[in-house]
Amino acid sequence: MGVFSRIKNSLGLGSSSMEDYDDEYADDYVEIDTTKDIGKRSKIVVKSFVVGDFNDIKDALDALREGYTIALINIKPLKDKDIIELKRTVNKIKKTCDAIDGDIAGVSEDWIVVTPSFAHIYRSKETEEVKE
Amino acid sequence: MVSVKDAINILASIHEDTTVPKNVRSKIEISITSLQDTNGKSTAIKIDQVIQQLDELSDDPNLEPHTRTQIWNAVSTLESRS
Repeated sequence: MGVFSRIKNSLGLGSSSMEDYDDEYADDYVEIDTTKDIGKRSKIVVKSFVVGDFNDIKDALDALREGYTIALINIKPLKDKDIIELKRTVNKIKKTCDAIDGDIAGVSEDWIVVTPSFAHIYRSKETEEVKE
Repeated sequence: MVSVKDAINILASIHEDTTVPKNVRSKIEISITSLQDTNGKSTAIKIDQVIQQLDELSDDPNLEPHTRTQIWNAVSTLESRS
């Protein structure tokens, strides 16, 4: 028996010490599979959308109507392109938001948050009311 | 006071019109079905969804001008309801 083995045994960490425990204690843990995909099991989805055109908003609105998606919408590309089209788009988002009884707020110059009815947006100084 | 039934009647008249392209009629049928569907989504969500479908449909270049006007009428009716 080597020096390390003797030290381990004296500290109670040797191989023989594990045999002293019952089998029920040895198997009493569950290994979590960290590679498992839980995407479909989670009910609420937070999803970002980039709007460069009026038609791009369709995906976001469809997702919102399903009722499980909190949408983060980046309006910067459309804002840089056409401000009239942006107003039309925001108006459309607001109408859908009213229909789903949700909440809408601008969190910066370029981002809008839209939530379904189960959530509301906390308003601070940084959060703005979205105007058409 | 206009109702969803009025909009369904307008859409039904478009659906029965044989001069309207087949793809348009099939989409109109889907819109009518989703408006008549009593299960699941609330009326406001259904109306919002159908307005979006009809809005896209009205951009179809194969539509006759009078059909496009009828679709806009249906949209108008649904918007006043929502």
